[in-house]
Amino acid sequence: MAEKYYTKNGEWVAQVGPRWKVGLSVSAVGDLGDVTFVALPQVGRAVAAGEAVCALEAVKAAADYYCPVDGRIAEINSRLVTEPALLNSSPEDEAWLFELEAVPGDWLESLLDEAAWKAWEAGR
Amino acid sequence: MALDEALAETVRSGGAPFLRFYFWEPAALSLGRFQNLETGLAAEAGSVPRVRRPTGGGGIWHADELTYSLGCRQDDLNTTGVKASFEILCGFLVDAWRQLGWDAGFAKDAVRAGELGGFTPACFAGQEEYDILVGGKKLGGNAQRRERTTIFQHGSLPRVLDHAVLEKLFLPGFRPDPASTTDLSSCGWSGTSRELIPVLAGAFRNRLNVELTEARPTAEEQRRAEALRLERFADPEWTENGPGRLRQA
Repeated sequence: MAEKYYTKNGEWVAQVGPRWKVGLSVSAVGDLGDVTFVALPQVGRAVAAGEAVCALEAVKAAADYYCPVDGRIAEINSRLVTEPALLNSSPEDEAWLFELEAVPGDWLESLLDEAAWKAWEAGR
Repeated sequence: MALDEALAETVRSGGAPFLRFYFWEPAALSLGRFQNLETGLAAEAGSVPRVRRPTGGGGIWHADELTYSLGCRQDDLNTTGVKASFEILCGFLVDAWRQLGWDAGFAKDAVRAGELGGFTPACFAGQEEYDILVGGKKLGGNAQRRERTTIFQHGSLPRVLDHAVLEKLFLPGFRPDPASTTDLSSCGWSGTSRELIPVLAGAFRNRLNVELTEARPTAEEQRRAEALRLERFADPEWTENGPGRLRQA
């Protein structure tokens, strides 16, 4: 997969062909615990960077996650509806959340590249 | 629930953190934010008063108990971590129980990691890392709703846990086990639930090093609570389906 870019909330994006794939980092999911439910966005929905777009339930916490990219939802990872625990076993690979057709903007400038993300996590 | 949500909105828009205590009249079954009603609930659970919480976790029968809710910004805790926030925000309960002379601690310190976790339709049936055990048994339950910058947490502290009622509400295999759950009365609390409030408020002050100022909800918060009650918490569809079980985000 292409280089990932991260938000400080733990979402990642990676460009795959003409689209951008979005998911959650290992540390974000690990901190939440065993994921029991995932609410995904509707395909076709237009979203702005920073907009709440997914919700996860772990055993004791329900948490919102935010779209790092301006664009339109092109595809969701339907496996997560029936296999939410996939987020715990493969958060940065098989358990991607959705793909977007991104629109140009300055949203990439606000994200951390992998080196900056690792440095930021180390300093938490 | 509607007032809790209104108070959480105040925090979300920059208002002060809050700690609220309340009771239930009538007794009611609360459901976790995304809880699926098709799993673990008995038919009788459909005929009692029900409300869906903004917070995660499983179902709770609220009868003879003290309930708390609190809202704060993640910055108030100096952590964005979920587990770290549970440790901070549930710590006052551990302190309070120890102050009463009870053998209290977090489940993570008493139970092997492999035996913790996993969703249970009845909150009290499961044990998670930051559940609180007294004498090795789970006392109450705590759950969070987390947004970008804020945390809202609920906690249920049963004075008397009526297992006869729980047996009617939850199917066999999903019921809290009397051998692994406890209540305030069994732990030795002989006062009322209301009399526990100053104990908990004092422990909260000390643990979080904060001042608490007693206050009533503002007129605007009460107006907002009534609006939320009508548009969400009194809506049978919200109670049945929650925000995302059948509807996508």
